[in-house]
Amino acid sequence: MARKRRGVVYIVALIGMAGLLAVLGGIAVRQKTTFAARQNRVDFARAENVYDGAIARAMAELSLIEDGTATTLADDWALLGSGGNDRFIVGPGSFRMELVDASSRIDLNTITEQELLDLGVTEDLVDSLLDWREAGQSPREQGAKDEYYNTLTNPYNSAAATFQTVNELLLVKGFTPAMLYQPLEGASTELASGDTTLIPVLADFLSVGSVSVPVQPQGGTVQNLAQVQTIQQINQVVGNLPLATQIFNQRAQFQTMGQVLALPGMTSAAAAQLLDRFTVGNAAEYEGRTNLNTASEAVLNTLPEFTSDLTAAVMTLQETGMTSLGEVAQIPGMTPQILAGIIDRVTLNSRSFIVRIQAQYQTGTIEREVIVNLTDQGPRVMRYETLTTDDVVNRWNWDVETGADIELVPNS
Amino acid sequence: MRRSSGITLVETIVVVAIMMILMAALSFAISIGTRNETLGQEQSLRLQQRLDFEERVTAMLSSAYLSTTEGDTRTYMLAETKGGTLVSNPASDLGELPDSLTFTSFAPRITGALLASTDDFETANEKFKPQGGVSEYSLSPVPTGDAGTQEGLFLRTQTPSDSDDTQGGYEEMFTTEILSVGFEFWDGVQWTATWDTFTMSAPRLPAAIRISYILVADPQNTYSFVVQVTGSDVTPDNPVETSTEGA
Repeated sequence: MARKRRGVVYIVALIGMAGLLAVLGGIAVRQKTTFAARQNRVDFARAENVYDGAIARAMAELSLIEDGTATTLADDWALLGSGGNDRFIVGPGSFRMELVDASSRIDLNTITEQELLDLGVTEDLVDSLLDWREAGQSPREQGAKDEYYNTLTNPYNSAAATFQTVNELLLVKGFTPAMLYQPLEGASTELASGDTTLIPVLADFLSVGSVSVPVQPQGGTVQNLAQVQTIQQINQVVGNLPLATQIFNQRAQFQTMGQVLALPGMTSAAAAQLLDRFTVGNAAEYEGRTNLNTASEAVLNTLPEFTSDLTAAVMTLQETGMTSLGEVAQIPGMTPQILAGIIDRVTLNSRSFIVRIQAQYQTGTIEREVIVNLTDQGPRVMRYETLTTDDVVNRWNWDVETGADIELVPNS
Repeated sequence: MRRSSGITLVETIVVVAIMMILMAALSFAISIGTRNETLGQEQSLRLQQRLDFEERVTAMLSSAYLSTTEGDTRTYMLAETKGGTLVSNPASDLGELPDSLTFTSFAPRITGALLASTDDFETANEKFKPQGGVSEYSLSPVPTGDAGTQEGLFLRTQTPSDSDDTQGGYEEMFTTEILSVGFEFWDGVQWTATWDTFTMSAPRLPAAIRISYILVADPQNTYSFVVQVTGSDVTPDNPVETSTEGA
């Protein structure tokens, strides 16, 4: 009986202690949850700070690009971050980055119907895309204008104007995320290398608002053909009087350099000389031209009449970079006819870049694609997109495991 | 001598006394703790409300976008006073600030659900609403549509943006926790209370926007925060020249 009584006291004490522990445990759990939420918020805010450091690093690199010079894959900007595989350490945070020439892609606002078809985009989607970016309310056979978009469950009007971002395609009739972000099927851009991982998704084929400037030959400037005063000026360049006479007589009518190169009797040598000395028009910059120095094999394959041999020749030249359009005219396999078809679509430099950044601070991660243009005032962020999918590193073709660690320390 | 085998009265009294002292101490501690926690929770809630509001507004405003294409009227930024409870920033002498801001931005993220979906275009439109491109945002205490008796800060989102800044899209309650809000704009030289890209000869975005606001739960204090507009080209060396107001 006495043993039983002692047991009662023991049990009462245990219950009391258990109650106390339960209260304390509840408080601890709540504190832990609150603390974790605050910690996540702090981590995310600090990841933003790391991102600020990353974009500043990218802008500093881009500010070193000299205006008008060729933009090549051998440049310092292209090597920064080793294609996203280097890890820059900033205290407890880190970032990875890759700079991509926006002009290495095809501009969504200048891409042609045939190029879209070559990419494997179906005719109905091509019609819809072209209708979206063109003014007016008369749709193509398989396209769509306001009349269609206004009947959607969540209606809107078509832009009837140029695209402002690549993901605007998701608003165009028929386009789905799978078409935009998954590897293209049926594209006639088979790669000579056979490496299917190099076939980009449509979103990575395209850019919007890429800018380049007229290519200036080394040691000189190009002259507007319309301002040439004598036939001799042209003949000194092309060394062919009948050709020079044709050019001189039509100089006021030319709208594009392609029209000049398409003249009868044009030779590769004459074209090379013409491109290094003359231009058509006085444009200070061009929008939407593809940079032959940085374009991928898949993008080059979409250029009109580009054979696999021609693509291979361009890719070989990319290793050192082309600095004048005259060099383009003399690429093995480049006929004046092919040149005439592409010369107003291509360039050798770029003033637009895509900066891919993954910034991390403990549990906080930010992944962004930033469009930076080089302006007279220096590099300028034009816009950015924060990515939300969990496979961004794969989509950017980065290795999951990082390469070199580069520790950034403040200036002493 | 017979030894007691049970607990004595003295032992019981001692145990009960100790337990009473412990209970009294514990109840006092819990009472103090509860009061402090209530106070802490209120402060934490206010802080949470502030952080939520500031983070959401920062995300939208920092990626405000203005097209550089001449004549493109699909992108804009316009500050207006629509008649909510107006707020002044104690740190400036601009007086009562405009309480509504309409602007275009790339801010809306494409949702992961849409990216992962295998729906066709029309089904995706129905399930996820229009996504992609540039959106128009309008933050205002005065709703464009009929909000009934609801009061707070309303957000109207239109995707894609069009040339009409006055209506369209979907309106929702952005927060009921804000009593009033006001906007100021850094034009490269000074803070100004006006911004209207429709009337600018060369439309530009401000370098930064200062947002002042008062919480419903804390009407005595005015809070402010500054959002840097990433896509702005306005700098002290390249200010907006048409500014006439200053702080």
